[in-house]
Amino acid sequence: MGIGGKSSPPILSQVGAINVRHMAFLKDSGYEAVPYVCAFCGNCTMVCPAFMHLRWEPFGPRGKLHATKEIIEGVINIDEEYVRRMYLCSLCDHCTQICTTSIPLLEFWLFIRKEIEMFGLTPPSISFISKSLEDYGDPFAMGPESRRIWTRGIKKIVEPRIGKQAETLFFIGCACALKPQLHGIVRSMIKIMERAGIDYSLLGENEACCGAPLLWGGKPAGAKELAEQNIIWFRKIGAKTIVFNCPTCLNAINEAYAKIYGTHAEKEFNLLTASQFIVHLIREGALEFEEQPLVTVTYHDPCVAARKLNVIDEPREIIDSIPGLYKVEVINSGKETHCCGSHGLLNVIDPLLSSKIAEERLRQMSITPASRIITECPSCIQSLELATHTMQYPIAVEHIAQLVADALRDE
Amino acid sequence: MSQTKQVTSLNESNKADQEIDPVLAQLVKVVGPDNASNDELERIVYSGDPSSLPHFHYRWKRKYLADYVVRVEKTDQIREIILIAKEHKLAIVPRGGGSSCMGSSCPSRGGISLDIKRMNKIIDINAEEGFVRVEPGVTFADLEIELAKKGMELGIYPTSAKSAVIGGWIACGGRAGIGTPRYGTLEENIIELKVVLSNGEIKIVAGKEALPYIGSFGILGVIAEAKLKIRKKPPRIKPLSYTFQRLESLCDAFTKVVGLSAKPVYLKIADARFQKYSNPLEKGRYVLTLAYNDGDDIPFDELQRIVGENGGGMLDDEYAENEWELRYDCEFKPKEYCHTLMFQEVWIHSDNVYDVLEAYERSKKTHKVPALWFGMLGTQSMVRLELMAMLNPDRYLEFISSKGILHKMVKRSIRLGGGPYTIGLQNSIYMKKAYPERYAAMKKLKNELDVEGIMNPDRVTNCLTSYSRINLLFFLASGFRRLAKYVAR
Ligand SMILES: Cc1cc2nc3c(=O)[nH]c(=O)nc-3n(C[C@H](O)[C@H](O)[C@H](O)COP(=O)(O)OP(=O)(O)OC[C@H]3O[C@@H](n4cnc5c(N)ncnc54)[C@H](O)[C@@H]3O)c2cc1C
Ligand code: SF4
Ligand code: SF4
Repeated sequence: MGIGGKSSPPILSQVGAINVRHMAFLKDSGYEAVPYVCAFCGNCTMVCPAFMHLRWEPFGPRGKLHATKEIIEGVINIDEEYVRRMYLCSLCDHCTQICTTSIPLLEFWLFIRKEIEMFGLTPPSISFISKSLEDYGDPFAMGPESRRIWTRGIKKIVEPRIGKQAETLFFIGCACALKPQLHGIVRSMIKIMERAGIDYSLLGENEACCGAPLLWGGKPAGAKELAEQNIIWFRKIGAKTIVFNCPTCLNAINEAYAKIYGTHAEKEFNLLTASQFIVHLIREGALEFEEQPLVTVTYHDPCVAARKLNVIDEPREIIDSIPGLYKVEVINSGKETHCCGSHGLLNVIDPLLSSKIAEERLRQMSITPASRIITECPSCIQSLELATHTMQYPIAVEHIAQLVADALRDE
Repeated sequence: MSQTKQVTSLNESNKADQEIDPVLAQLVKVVGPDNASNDELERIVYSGDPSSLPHFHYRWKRKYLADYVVRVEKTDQIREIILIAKEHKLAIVPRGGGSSCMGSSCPSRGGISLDIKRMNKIIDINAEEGFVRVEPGVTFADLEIELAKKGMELGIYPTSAKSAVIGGWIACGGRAGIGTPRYGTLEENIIELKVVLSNGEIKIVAGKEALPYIGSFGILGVIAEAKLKIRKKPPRIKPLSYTFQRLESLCDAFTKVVGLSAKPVYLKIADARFQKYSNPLEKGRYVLTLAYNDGDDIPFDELQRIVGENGGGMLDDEYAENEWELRYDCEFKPKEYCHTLMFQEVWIHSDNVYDVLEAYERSKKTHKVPALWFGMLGTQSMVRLELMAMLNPDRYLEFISSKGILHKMVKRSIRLGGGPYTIGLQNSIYMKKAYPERYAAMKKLKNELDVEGIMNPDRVTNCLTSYSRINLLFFLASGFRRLAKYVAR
């Protein structure tokens, strides 16, 4: 198997000659050539959040590739030390974005994690999350019945929506469903859909994790299974459009779909991030806004939304259409966005590093005159919010849905 | 610092190692346990650079692996680490972004890889007086962001600006980069440097006294601070691209464009093969791309005339914009398509560009070298030409023959009054021949300043092998090749 996708460097199919055949690590995976495509130019090092904070070259992508090359060639052994290093990565995809030789690095890091899992070397904290997903269907060991806790207070409105046949399905995601800190996002999305008169459905306890944490933990097969469970439910509901308030969930299901069915999900479903969905409603005139009291906001692009899904303009268009809101750009936005530090289970493997990365991102935001940070990823919200406490820099961090819901004109 | 705690715990063995290794213990005393290591993985990563030589070749070097990696944050720490190195007769290999080629920051006798990337403070920006004072580990991106806040820019940077740091570029000489044709080389933009010498002395050097340190590749001391000129940031850059069918026409147009009084910030030439791999909007056989500050008087008419006289044509804006966008990435893009991208950089007068390129293009036919090239104007007349070959290491003869041709090209450039561009470990053999005066001056200074010879040995003034040995090797290889051809016939 080769590395799929049109961005794969052509050399990957030519490097049969390298003396790696006898090595077990990455053997015959189609990925063994990756470190040899690297020009070792170092461009990726300077953008890598792990490098930026640890400042040791081996933690940057070039260093990680270098180390992997040495393992392939039998110079060093694959051990816990190597594994820790490979896991000090937020899978933010910035290295892929910048790579001179177009190496699909994110795909490679994921494959390495799978290989690590096969060697039985996955760090225990990651295995704990995987186990929770396998046993409970979510990473917090809370179980399906807990997926309705966010409905408290609005049961009358939302309970009839659960399991209902509808063309629009709102996929809530584990974090938003199970973490009280994030329930505001779900409620805001509900408010927006109700106000726009959308006939929507919810999966309730039948919603499963999108599978991303299993993929990040080196278990792509498990991730696929979870995604498939969800896809089956999408069909049962008769959904055509699925709205996600977490871009990672969307991306995980989208990619799993392609792997399972060998075709693009868009052939069957319209998968939208919250901002993509809301921008449609605004363009159709389905939402009306109250004038805001001159609020300056800045937008933090979540890695997956910007780099993977190319959702960059939509949230900005939303902000621009709310009267009284002013938008200022933070440095490193759009595809050049900086990671919030929590992606890819980095917050599990090294919470301290994860929070330092978030603090740095918050520092960048703090230079702008913004009094509110807007984003569309629940994970980013959690880590940036934590950073506001650790840095004692009180600034509100909100989901785009919250911004919109709060600005809606009273009925 | 708290975040680096994790690194220490990653390197569980560090504590135990300190007990066994007294040098490590000394290093740790200076920089703390999080910033010194003798871990093998660390040492491997810190001992490499982008030099695309197959592994077997790389490992011929005497002691290619550093014994220790140390990260410094302050000038005093550099000083103390140097003194420890001196005590134990260990080499010091300063390391910035590790993006310089030719093994510049690769050890040749083990020793300490001294990472200065943590020294990344922008100490002072003075827009009125037009200078910035920086530590050596400052990245070009950070500098650009901070200067832009005051409407200023450095205006000169290497195309490796995404990976290099300022100290590394200074140590490499900074003769060709974006902006250098317009604002001069680093030499003309450095106001003063703070250096730490091998005897531990911390010295401020300016003017003539600073010159040896610019392009010293770390053999005289470690650059700990730099004061550089800054200027007003232009509102926009205007790129223009032209295509030519013949090498001669391209070079003629190039020489004439170089002679115009309006100086571009970027002037690049490349062959079709390089363009094919680097700019997806590939067009024509040869391409010339220029970029001007939008505020400058752009000589549109003269450009049009020069291009017209040489049978060239203008490429559309999209192509030109793409060329400008790709200025950082184009150089190594061909690596995506081959196992080994072998290259050699030469530094020659613009009048001699045709001579070298014509000879290199001929080698494609005579020696079947999978050749491609690109060049960029450095000063107002000197050019950095990068001659490349896309190789498969399995074809050993092709590898040797390409290396031989690149050696010939350097010799040709030297005959024409030029020489190699980056010196590093690999090109030090040419120093004496190409830059005899600089060589003599550097040798004298090296002997005075670095008596023990610990500062990045085996480059610039000294070499692991000799010019005549390399010459003989390639002479024999070429004889062997001819013989093999004859026998085959
Ligand atoms: C894609 C690409 C494009 C490039 N484009 C250009 C270009 O346009 N122009 C150009 O000139 N070069 C270019 N280069 C070569 C190289 O990147 C540059 O010269 C760069 O400035 C090196 O900086 P660095 O921080 O990576 O230094 P390193 O590679 O880490 O070090 C370079 C040399 O300087 C020494 N050194 C590093 N820091 C110090 C210090 N503080 N004190 C003393 N010695 C030190 C090292 O020991 C080594 O000998 C390019 C390289 C690549 C890979
Ligand atoms: S994905 Fe992000 S964190 Fe991981 S190696 Fe790449 S740049 Fe670094
Ligand atoms: S940017 Fe790509 S080619 Fe350059 S060092 Fe990183 S992985 Fe290698």
